[in-house]
Amino acid sequence: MNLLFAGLVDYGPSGEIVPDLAERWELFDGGKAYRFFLRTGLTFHDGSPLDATDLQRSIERTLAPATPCPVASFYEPIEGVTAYRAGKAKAISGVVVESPHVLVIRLQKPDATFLPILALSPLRPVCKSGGRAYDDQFQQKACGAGPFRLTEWLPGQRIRVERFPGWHEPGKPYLDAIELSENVSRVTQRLMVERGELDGIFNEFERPGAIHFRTHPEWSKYFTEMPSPDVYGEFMNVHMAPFDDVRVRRAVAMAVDRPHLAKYYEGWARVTDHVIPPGIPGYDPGFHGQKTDVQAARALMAEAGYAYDPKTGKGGYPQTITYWAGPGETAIRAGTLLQYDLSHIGLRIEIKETSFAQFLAVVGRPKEARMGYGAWLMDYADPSDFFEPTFSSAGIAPEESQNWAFYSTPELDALLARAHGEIDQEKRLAMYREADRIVCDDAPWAFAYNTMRIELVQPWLRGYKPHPVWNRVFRNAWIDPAAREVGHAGLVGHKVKRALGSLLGRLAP
Amino acid sequence: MSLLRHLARRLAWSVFVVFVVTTATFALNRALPSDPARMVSGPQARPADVAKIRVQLGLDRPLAVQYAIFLQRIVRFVPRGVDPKKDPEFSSCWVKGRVCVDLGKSYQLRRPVAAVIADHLPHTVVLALAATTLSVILGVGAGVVAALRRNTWLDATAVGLALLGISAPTFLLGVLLQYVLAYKLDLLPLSGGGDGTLRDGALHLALPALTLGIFGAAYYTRLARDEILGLLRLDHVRTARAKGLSRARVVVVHVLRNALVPIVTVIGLDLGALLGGAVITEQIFSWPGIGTLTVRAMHDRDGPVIVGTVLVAATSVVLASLVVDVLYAFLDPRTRSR
Repeated sequence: MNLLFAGLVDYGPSGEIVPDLAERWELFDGGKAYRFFLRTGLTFHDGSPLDATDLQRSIERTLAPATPCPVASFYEPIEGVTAYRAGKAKAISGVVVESPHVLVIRLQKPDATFLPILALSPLRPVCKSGGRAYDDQFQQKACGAGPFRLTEWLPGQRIRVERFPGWHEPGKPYLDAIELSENVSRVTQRLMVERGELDGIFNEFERPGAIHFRTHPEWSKYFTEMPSPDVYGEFMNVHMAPFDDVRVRRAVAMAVDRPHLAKYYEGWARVTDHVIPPGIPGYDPGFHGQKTDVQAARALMAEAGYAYDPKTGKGGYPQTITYWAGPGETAIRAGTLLQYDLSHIGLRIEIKETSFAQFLAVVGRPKEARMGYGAWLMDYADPSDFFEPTFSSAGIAPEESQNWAFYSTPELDALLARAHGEIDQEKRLAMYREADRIVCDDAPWAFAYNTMRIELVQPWLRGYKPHPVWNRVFRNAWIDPAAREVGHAGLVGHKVKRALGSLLGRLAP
Repeated sequence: MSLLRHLARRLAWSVFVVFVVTTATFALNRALPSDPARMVSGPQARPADVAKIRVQLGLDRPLAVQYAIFLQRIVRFVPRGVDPKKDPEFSSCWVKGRVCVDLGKSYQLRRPVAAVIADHLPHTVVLALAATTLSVILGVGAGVVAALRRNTWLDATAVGLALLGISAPTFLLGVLLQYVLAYKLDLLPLSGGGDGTLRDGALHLALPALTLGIFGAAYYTRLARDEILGLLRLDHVRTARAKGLSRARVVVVHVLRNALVPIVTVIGLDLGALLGGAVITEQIFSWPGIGTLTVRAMHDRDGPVIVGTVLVAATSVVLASLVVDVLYAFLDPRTRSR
């Protein structure tokens, strides 16, 4: 998506909001409206000019009632979207074309999350051939205004994109074409990269392969690991015993043996003890929200009336608690590690593996799941996305709640609402750091880890850097032909082939 | 019973089997504890967005209604004067001439399922034919040699290799061949379906066909050897030799011809099964066939594609079985009355 389509704004190399098709923007009407000034001379891949009416058309196309957009509700803060989505209005009143190069987007109220949400791909403009209504067949001939244009798409096999000469950054992108292979097994990808047939592997490693590349004297130079914008841990339902007692929740958060987790997850995840993950604005590397301290955890359990003697194994919470793990090895592994950690403070858990649908149904209903495997992956790069669905009353519903701990306090709700509308970024991030402190203290989750994004590129792929938000950004990447000629020590297959060829040559008459 | 009546009966039975398999798949697919709308919209999508997509996919209707619509629309004719590309009524169709094959639309790919299958099926057909040809040539050849050179080192080698072939699962054999022939020796491409040219396609086909071919050849070796050994002991073979016919003529005319009857049966059934998609082999070599499509659809819980691929697999097996029955009836008239 990122290769083919470009939007008014984008996420920069550090995850910050940067101009893209818009060269600048201004905020007015007390933070309730944005005026975007488009670059001049913008064109679509088909050569037709791109102006503000195309942006308006594309926004209305994506948010039309018949369009199956899975994140349409993200855009409801825009004035008139709700009525438009419900079929009560023919256009979005809050999206106004002031001139061919000026587009105004009005919000219902000041909203600091608007730009990070706008930077996502759904509202990016599509060519006039994409029309005013979404059409399934458009994807085959996808046409936008991104740095590359689609030249071939064999579903399930490969996608080929070529450099778009009309791209607004002079000289960029540097690569003439990119071919993305689909459905290639992880083992095969490893063999292909070693033989020089792939220019990179992006997060698709089998574990032995990742270890091989990480420890290889040559390959390790081209192997990168960076934390993904996500957070994992254990949720505790604050309305169900024993987790309705904050002391028990804090004890669980303290019992999680993070130094052990760090060893266990090495190279696959990094241990965390708070909400905001690295790469998200507001992340504070010096902040430690939940510290591991088993002695203190046992003291808290005793205070809560569940004293436990580790020597005799007597005491603790009298019932066995069901830990809802959902499907998959990762969740089971997390549950098993927790089971061991909690055995030191007198909490006994049994792990329940379920299908994902059942997991979502159970953990999303109040008073059904006492405890389970918690995970939140970034929707958009803003701290609000890590608090509002998971730790506020906005995420609580009779069914399909996203706040699996059912944790909310009026104070935190108010703080998050203020932060959501605060336009001053410094003040805003300070509020989210305060929210992080409150959540860690109230411990509706015991935070455990962020996963790592692992990438390997060939030595000849220059200028490529992993991006904190997007997977695979190739705008600055280029191929060094000299380095490609030289290859490197990993290309064993070619040596054997050369030797075989030479042998056959000698045997031939 | 006449051959025609026999054929009609078998055909009716085949249609019934395909119907039952498809119905069961449709029902089971919906009975699984997983929400396709959630799969389409993502695990964290907001409930309101998921609900909207559920309606757009038609998943809010009762299962019986969904199935009735599926059956009703499966094959239709496009009226004259209607452009199926522009008429939304035919948006989930794969159109050939005026005939519309409508298996619904893929949840994930947003394309007509029949068109998606039509993209993948030729790859699977080519792979199935190549693999079966290899299996038969290698297997029957080895079986004949083993039988005619019974209790020699040739026999022992053929039987030993066949045992090894049967014991080695395709995922092991495939990875091994990939590692040695493609990665180490760089003789063949590691994976993929090729760039569309005949030469490149053939090179990419070699490894998956060899994997399935070797695996299948092991069975044919055992089968051909046992059949031929049994036939060599029969009176008419001994008589033919006694009459002075050459050994080669006796083997080809009197032995191999009769041995082919059970071999043809197995070939037919094997081919039918392979046409349903060689799931593991296609996955190893990223061969863009029905097997790869099926695995991806299962992973994505893409119901219409799952039903479509099962329909293809069931039809392939049933048709192959039908063809074998007919061939059998030709070769052995006694079976017609059974």
